[in-house]
Amino acid sequence: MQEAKIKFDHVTKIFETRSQTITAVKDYSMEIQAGEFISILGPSGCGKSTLIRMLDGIIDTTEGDILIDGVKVNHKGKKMPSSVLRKLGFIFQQPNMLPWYTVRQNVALPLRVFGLKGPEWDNRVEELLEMVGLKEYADAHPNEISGGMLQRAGVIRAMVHDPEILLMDEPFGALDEMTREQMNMELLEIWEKTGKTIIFITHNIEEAVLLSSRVYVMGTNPGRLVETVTLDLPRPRKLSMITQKDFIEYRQLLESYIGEIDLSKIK
Amino acid sequence: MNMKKKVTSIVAPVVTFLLIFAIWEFACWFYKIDAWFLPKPSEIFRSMIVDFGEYWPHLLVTLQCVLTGFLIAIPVGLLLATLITSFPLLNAAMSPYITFLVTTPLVSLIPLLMLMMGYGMNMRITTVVIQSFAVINMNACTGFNNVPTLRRELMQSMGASRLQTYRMMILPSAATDIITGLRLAAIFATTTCISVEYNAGNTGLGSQIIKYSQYLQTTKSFACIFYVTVIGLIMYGLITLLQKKIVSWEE
Amino acid sequence: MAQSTPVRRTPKKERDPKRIIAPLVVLAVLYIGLEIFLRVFNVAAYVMPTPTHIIQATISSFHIILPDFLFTLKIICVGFCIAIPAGILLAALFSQFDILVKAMQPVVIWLVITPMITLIPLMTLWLGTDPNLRVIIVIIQATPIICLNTLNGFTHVEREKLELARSVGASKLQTFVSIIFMNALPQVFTGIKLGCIFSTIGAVSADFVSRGQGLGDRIIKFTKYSNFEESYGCIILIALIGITLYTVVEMIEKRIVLWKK
Repeated sequence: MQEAKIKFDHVTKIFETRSQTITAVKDYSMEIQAGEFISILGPSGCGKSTLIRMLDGIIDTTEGDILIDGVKVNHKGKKMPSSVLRKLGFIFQQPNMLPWYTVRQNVALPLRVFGLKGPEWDNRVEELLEMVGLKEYADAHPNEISGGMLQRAGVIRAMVHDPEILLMDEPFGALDEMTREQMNMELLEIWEKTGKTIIFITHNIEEAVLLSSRVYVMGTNPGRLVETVTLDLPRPRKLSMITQKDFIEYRQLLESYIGEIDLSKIK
Repeated sequence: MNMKKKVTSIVAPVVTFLLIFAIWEFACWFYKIDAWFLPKPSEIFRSMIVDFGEYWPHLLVTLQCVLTGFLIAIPVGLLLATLITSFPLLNAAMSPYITFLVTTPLVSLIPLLMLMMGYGMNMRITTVVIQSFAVINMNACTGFNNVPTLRRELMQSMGASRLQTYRMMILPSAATDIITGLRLAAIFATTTCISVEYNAGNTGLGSQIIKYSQYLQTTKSFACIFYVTVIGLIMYGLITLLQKKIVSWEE
Repeated sequence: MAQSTPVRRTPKKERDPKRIIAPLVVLAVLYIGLEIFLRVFNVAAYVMPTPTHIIQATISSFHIILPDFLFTLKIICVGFCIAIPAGILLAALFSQFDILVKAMQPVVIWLVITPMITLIPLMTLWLGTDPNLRVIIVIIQATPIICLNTLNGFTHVEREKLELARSVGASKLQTFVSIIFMNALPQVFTGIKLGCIFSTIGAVSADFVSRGQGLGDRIIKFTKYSNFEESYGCIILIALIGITLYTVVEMIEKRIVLWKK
């Protein structure tokens, strides 16, 4: 069998303060193959953001292993090595641009940090800017362009060092509905073209069904995996599909899981 | 509309200053106030120009003291703030003392510093440095400690080194707070320098203000005070220039 | 419609015992370290007396210091307490008219960048030698900085908030008190805290020039007669006045400005 691209093996994260202990993620396991587009769906506070932050070495794990290409990458108290981080691109909920750099400098930031120099990388920056239509705004500062453009810049910043895996933390959650739909379609296009592995975090059921091949549903208190749903919908996905029968059934199925979680919370 | 706004924001203060000096001038003339008590502004300005040769060396001494002290205080304050905020334990241990240093009028050390270091430039600059580095340090610490979490995570997600994180993200994030600190430090530097000159020796504008007021040459005292304003303006201008250069991305 | 939710990763910050213990450890280390260092290297008392000597000497001479301490405390507190309403009221007045803001802001800046302590020698000329007049120095030294910060707060109110006030038909006074003033509170407190620092510097400088009374005068006297331990004691007392005032202001700020972290 093909080795999983990403594997979470019984991962637990516990935050401890003096007065309380919070289990943000409990005993979480999943396997993702190369080139898959999967979503992690759950209400706020279910630990989904913690999950991908552990994968990206921003937060330590408390227990369990995270493997990329079969190699354990989480080592407590140690920074994740650059060689691993280079395989990952992180897209934040907000554009998270550094306001003192131009759009181009922001996009090229990972190249500077990873020490990737040379004309081929410079060209890549230009290509990506071109791809998302930011070419003419490349020398603008982030406060001069719109939120949608900024988030596009955020997406290509995460891709500039050519990572194999994209981690997206509710990337379009801060945008208005229309821009968000458009961005989702653009994202699908990018994925189909590049074949990257994508982990997409969201609390929007429709978005999860529209984009991904598999949805991991998480619940709260403690944050844990509730259900895995494989979506058997044709690709390429289109916005028009949201009114089709299959789509609606999947949506209702996922809604029922999320609903159960909410009920259990009330108890 | 915008043009009009711009014009008012220049004209209004000019008119105000003219008005203040006009009223002052008129009051002195109308009530026949003696020059030793309150000189006319016109007399003060005349003296600033006519007796410039007399003030010049002292202006230079004060300016040199304020500027040198200020320029030393900047790296001292910034380096200390960087060091303190780099280690959580040190941050916790030092934070009350940073406030303590700022709230203590370190000018009270002047008599002792005079004894240790004499009346010369070294002692004056030292006093200016210790009074003004503290506020730079405090503001820089605030800036460094309030860096948004998301920006930290961005640098972490790329595995940036400490130096890279500091240079690319932390320092620019704190720039606005640092500039605020510099602005305050400039005021502290000028104030402290005058306070030192009141006590130490007979050079510098502060010493001259005292000397002239003792001889009832109030016009000259005021001329010196206005030259202190000139120093304040120079400092203010320098920092505004720096601000435009460094935090140009704002606005 | 889906709302974006902020990510909560680390639970709310609480009072960490480290923040109390660590500074105390620093104090202990500093005290013992200085004590040992100064004794071992035989540092002259005029450079730095040992902490124990400072405390001993200050306690035994406290009856001499006390009147000056009380005097300086009075000057700073009275001056500071007058400067606060003065600064805020001036700012409130200016902020009522756009043109007045534009006209007066540079004047306030002028008063801030020119240390008002430059007027100390002239004050004696104008008002005589009564030491209590040093209150005036404290007031004119602290008022401009309070006024400048407050004015900044008063003139930077988000338009939405003002429109909200207008939409509910609030009067000018209501708008000012409940929107503009509340909104500016963080800046007002910044101004007050700075004013507190300016007050102490003003008071000590006034003591230095006018002499006769006050902790600043006492420091000069002690230094002149080589009682360096007491000089340092006086400096610590002034520092205590400064930090106490500052802490009180900060505590009030925390009580009032709840929405600021």
